[in-house]
Amino acid sequence: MELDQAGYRTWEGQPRSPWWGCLSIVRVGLSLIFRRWVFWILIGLGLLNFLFHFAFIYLKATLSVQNENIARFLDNYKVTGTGQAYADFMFAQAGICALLLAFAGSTLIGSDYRQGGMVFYLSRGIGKWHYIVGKLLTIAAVVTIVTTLPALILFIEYGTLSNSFQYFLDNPRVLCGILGYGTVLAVVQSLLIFAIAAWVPRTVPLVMTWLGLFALLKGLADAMRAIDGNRYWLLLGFWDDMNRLGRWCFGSLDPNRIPSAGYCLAVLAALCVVSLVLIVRRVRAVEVVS
Amino acid sequence: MSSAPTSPAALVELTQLSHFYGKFQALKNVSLTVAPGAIGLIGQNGAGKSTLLKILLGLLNPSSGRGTVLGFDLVRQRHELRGRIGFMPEAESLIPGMRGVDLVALAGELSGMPRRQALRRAHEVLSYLELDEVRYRQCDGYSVGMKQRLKLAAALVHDPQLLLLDEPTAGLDPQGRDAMLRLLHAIASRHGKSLILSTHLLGDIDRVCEQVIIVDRGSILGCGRIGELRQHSLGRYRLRWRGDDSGFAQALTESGLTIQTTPRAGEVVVEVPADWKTVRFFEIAARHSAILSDVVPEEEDLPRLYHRLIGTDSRLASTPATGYPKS
Amino acid sequence: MKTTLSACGHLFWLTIRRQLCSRQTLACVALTGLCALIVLAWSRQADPTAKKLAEQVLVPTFVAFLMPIFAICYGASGIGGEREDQTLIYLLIVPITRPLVYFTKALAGLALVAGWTGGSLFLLCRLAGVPGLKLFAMFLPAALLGGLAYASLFLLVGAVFRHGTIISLVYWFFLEVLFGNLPGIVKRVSVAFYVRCMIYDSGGDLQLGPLGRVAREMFLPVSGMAATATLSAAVVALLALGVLLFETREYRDAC
Repeated sequence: MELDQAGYRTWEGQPRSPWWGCLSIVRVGLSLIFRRWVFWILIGLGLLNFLFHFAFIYLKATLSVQNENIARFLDNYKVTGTGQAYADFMFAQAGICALLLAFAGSTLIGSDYRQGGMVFYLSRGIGKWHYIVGKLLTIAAVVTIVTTLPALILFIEYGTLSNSFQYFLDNPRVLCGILGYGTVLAVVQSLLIFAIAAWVPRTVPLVMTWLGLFALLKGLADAMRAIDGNRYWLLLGFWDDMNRLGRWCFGSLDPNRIPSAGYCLAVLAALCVVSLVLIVRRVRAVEVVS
Repeated sequence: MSSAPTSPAALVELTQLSHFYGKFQALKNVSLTVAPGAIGLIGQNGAGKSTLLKILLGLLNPSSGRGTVLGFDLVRQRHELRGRIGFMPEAESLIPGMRGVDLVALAGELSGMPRRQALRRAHEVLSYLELDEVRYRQCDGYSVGMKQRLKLAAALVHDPQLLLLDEPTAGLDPQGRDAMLRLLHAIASRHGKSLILSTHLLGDIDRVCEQVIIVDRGSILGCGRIGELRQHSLGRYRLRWRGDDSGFAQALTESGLTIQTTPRAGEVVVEVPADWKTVRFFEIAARHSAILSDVVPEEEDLPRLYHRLIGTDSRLASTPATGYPKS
Repeated sequence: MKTTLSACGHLFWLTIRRQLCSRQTLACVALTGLCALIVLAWSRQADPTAKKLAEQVLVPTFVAFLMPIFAICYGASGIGGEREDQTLIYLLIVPITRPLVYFTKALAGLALVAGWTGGSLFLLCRLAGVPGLKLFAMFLPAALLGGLAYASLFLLVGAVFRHGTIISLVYWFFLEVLFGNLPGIVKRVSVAFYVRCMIYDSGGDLQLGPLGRVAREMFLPVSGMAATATLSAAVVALLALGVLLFETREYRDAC
């Protein structure tokens, strides 16, 4: 190494707050996800669903001018611009996102435990909470990009292609619903996948646990309800709880239907707290510093 | 980079610092003061080196006692402290899938550098460490030597005042090791960085460090400048002479001295009592018609010093496994 | 010859031990436990019949979820796990030919998958009571053959691709879950289709079949015999292909 050829220069700048480091973690995490072709299979599936809706809204706006029957025919495909339609769209996107997170959890979180990334992060000028917030924001960003952002674009497209901007004024609840459902999905999924990936960092067990949590708990909830018809057992299905809460945000949840949005919120909040406790217990660099 | 709140005379100052893992005491009332410079941290496996490093890095709270590094309190100002420390871990702490330059820039950003400056500085440091040609390659594909330099680059990128290096030459071939040691020496001597080098290879410390901390079973057995610690070992002389070979050596033994080694004819290493006067060598030599050409107080090398302090067999010190290969 | 057999035996048991003592096994236990809870809850219903058990529990949870999961766990990680852990080099330097190495690993993986599939199916059927025991014989051949087909496929994927486990999971989602439920004959590329054909064929007395009229009409099943033959041929072909590819492939990530 010829040191004389290249000099070492000092850095005289002023260090920024460690919270800026969270944004760097988000940027790097997203680039790791979007750089892998395996993830693009799932992202592509979400994109396909989005483009389908996008094209239908455009066709509806264009063709309904010529023939109202065509508009009614296109309404069969549930691209109606109502809260229910957006909730359905986001529900489908959330399913794809859950699959994406099942794989991405190992890359974003699991590899930090298996390959020393935790030491890399926590031996810098950031603390445990900066790392946790950064990683949670990364997962939340993935969820938002796959679910909330496309829904917002469709909402804007629908309003823009209607005859006036009255659509936006008439449907503020839809906007709130998109943001609300998006927030529920982002918060719950990011905390849950972080907690699972931190404790089960390898890909296969992580995917098994993640899918088992949603698929099998729903099965268990249905089976328990079938015993005596007690619908509160349905709260065990976390995926449906998120869906119910999301639909409540859109205003399309029947208020008399059990379990109500309040119960769903309580269950999901408890789940988030448990996840956070698990995350905090696991994020300890000293365990992995050799 | 901004300086510490006070301008500390001591790089590290620990007072009665202890740490427990459950009931096991990993560090026992450690008190030490270390001046800035290149410091070696040596000790056997399980001696407490890693615990000490973790505490110095602010990753681990001491169970009792207190301390400062660069003038920052180890517990209350740990984030500020870590922003001024560069840590090069022994484990492969890289993020798979990232390019070398991005990884180093990320390390800079996490240490408080703005994005652009971190990126520019990453390029500079990678050039300095001669990784400029592979900077755009994914770090997973780097060789062991490259990975070591990349870790060093990530530790250096934010221009830290102190570098904590855990086994920086592990896994390197002789050339790579030599290059790494020259680099560390240059960083410490030319650029005024302090570094704490934790290693099992005493030769590495001998080449790079002027101070040493010797840890054994959670206690500090020795801490200070290597030269000063060596002074404790007075009591041995290397004698070379011409003339009567066996008679002079015989006379030395009869005078109550212990001959430690006889490297070759006309040369011995003798251990002398505390009240021994050097002039007596010449008197004995004169009596046996021997001409003394060298009377050199034998300086303890680092392996011997280390083994003397931890109380193990000093003969082990000369084995290449623990010391720097003797040429 | 004796030495080779002994070495293969060691490799077989080592693989079994390594695979069993892993977090994957813990996850398998947890998921089987969850399925057992579902079956227990289901069996407390007012009118539990064998047909309901098959349609509401065993097909959606066991056949569609647990069985492929077991296969991914122990199939994809056979060679793929060695590559991820960077221990493949130790396999390549053992004094056994590569085809034998692959075959031995495959045998160990298949044995584990068969054990888990058969064992968990028995547990679930046992917990379900009389209806479950009636279904056990109907489901067992299909479940075992399906599990083995999945396992040999995922073993091959692990041997060919660097991120074999992820690709196996992606394959499962897309080809098995999505394509497997599409109307028409496109689903015939999926293992799940033949497994269901075998089950529906053997469960003819109970009139087992896809739920819903449209799904039933669009299912276009093959006969149980044809499904059995297809799955058996798939196991043999996939194993042979795996042996061939493992023998000729250069693993740059081995060391």
